[in-house]
Amino acid sequence: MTAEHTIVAERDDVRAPDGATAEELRAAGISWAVDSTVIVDGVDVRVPPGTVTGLLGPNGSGKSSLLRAVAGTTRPDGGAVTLGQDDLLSMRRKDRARRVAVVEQESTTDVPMTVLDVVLLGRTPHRPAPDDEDRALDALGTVGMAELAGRDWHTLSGGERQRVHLARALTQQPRLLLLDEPTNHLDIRYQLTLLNVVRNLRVTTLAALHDLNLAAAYCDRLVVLDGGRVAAAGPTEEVLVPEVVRAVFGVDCDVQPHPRTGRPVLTFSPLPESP
Amino acid sequence: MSERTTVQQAGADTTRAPAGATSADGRPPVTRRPRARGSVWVVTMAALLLASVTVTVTFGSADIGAWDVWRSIGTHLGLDRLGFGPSPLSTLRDGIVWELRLPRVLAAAAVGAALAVCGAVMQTLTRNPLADPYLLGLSSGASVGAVLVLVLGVGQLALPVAAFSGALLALMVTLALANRRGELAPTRTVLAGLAVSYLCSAATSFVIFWSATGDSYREILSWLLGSLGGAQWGDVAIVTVAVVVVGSVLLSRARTLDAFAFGDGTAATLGIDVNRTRWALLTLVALLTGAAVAVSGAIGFVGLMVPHAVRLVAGSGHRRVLPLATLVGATFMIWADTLARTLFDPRELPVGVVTAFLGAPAFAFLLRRRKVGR
Repeated sequence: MTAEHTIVAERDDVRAPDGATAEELRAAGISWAVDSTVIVDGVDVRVPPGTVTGLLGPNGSGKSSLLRAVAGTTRPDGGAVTLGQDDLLSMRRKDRARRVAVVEQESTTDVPMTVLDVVLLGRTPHRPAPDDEDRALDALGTVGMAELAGRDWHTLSGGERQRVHLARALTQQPRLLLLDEPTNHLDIRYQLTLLNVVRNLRVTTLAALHDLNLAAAYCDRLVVLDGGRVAAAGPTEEVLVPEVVRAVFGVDCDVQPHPRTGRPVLTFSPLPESP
Repeated sequence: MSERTTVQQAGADTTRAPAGATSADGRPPVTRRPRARGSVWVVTMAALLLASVTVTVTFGSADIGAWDVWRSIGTHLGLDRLGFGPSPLSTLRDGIVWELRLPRVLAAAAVGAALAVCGAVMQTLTRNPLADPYLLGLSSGASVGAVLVLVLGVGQLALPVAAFSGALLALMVTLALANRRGELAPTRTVLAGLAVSYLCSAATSFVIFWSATGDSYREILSWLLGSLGGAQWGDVAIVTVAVVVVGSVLLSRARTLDAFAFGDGTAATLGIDVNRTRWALLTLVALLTGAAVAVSGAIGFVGLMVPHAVRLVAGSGHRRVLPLATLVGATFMIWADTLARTLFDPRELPVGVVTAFLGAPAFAFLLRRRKVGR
């Protein structure tokens, strides 16, 4: 409890997007199967308003599939997804895209585009308005890339590209942000920058992450998936304990407080060989 | 208007704001791509198109001047009767301009515009820089349809309809062959297109050879490599109407097309019904290809090159790319056809030979630069 309060107090005070009050995401009983192989099996996820929840789990545990179901890009076989009072699954695509924005890992294009062109794609679900460019530039400012608006997309580094994608997502004015391993293949500096920006947005966020220590450092709550089911869920400190890590990831770990932030830091070691 | 809309309109994209400069709201001012550049290009290319029409009509054995072209056009538009038009040409010279050369030049323009728009939209919707109506088999499919109708003698009106059906069928087969688990890999798509294209070309040649009594080779060539010889005003009308109608619909979907830049996944999260949109717009492309091929046969490389050239100068936004591709495609095709009919005068090259000479190197360039073989 106190830990969560300290975390909130540590955040730089960045304006909430458009002053909208943050909304809670509730996904209940999400199931999805391909050719009778169950990928996601009755998963419940709750993201409190304006907080960041990390979605962890080994490869193939169903993280991306769950995110796609919540995003509405694949229709789950069962379950319900609500954001505040709205039922996301029964909503029209365009209406959903005005509420939910997604950042994938490493998505790029063949065509020549400026950074501003890319960010402006975030206005697609909205009516064209005279202040579209201003919104796009605002979002670029939020991710610290305002100076690069006129740059060619193809000249950007991986970290810059992900921040531009985040700016594009923000330009959608989302009330829910879904991130699918957004820091993959980024240099460590950009991993930290990106997640720090996301934390400071105060938009309800569900982020699939690969790196347990990044999740420990930046997420308010965690959901750990294993074989398509929830293996553990709750506040970060309660989920990232040696028992959970051993059961899900098959490694031993020690948890210590970060010397500067006090957040949990995990060090891993192989399980002793069973005889 | 906020102060940011008055931000300096620098000429070059690379120009940056001076370090440390900030605007009133605390953010550094931003230099953006001047949006006006798009309209400057449109006006320039429209002027170039008009000039090209005027100049190329004068090329040929009969001595016709640029002013004669406008005198003829003025007469037929009825300007002379209104009292401020130029004096009419002699009947013979007017016939050469109005009945022979102008329909051919305008048909070339309309076909070029159609193919360029088709290429631009196909490249976007399949996310494949090598996509165009010719390479993906649509043009050959349309040829089969057109040739069948001609052989059966069903009538002139059925020709564009049959060409459209052929193009649509070829498109469906190509995409079905290329599709693997919902993904259209660029290499697979081009290979599937080639297979369909060869099959349809063979079918076209076979039908003509089987039905023709005399020298069928010239006709086979004109369907496989394209020809605008003998274009009539009716042909001009068919393709122009198709370009205007289909082009307007596509232009109205410019933002939707833009949203495909980062792939189907991103397009879907931006609120686009990816599959429905792709099929609806590709069907329109098949319609436009059908109209063009019914008039000119299958002409390659225009739909491939022109959109890339346009994007190099105007960026990727379809609100700028589509109108510019129309104008550039039209101008390019006028000159390609003029070369085709004058280079070995009085003999005529199939216009597809000219476009291939210009287009194949461009294709090779794209192949090397874009790493499409992923």
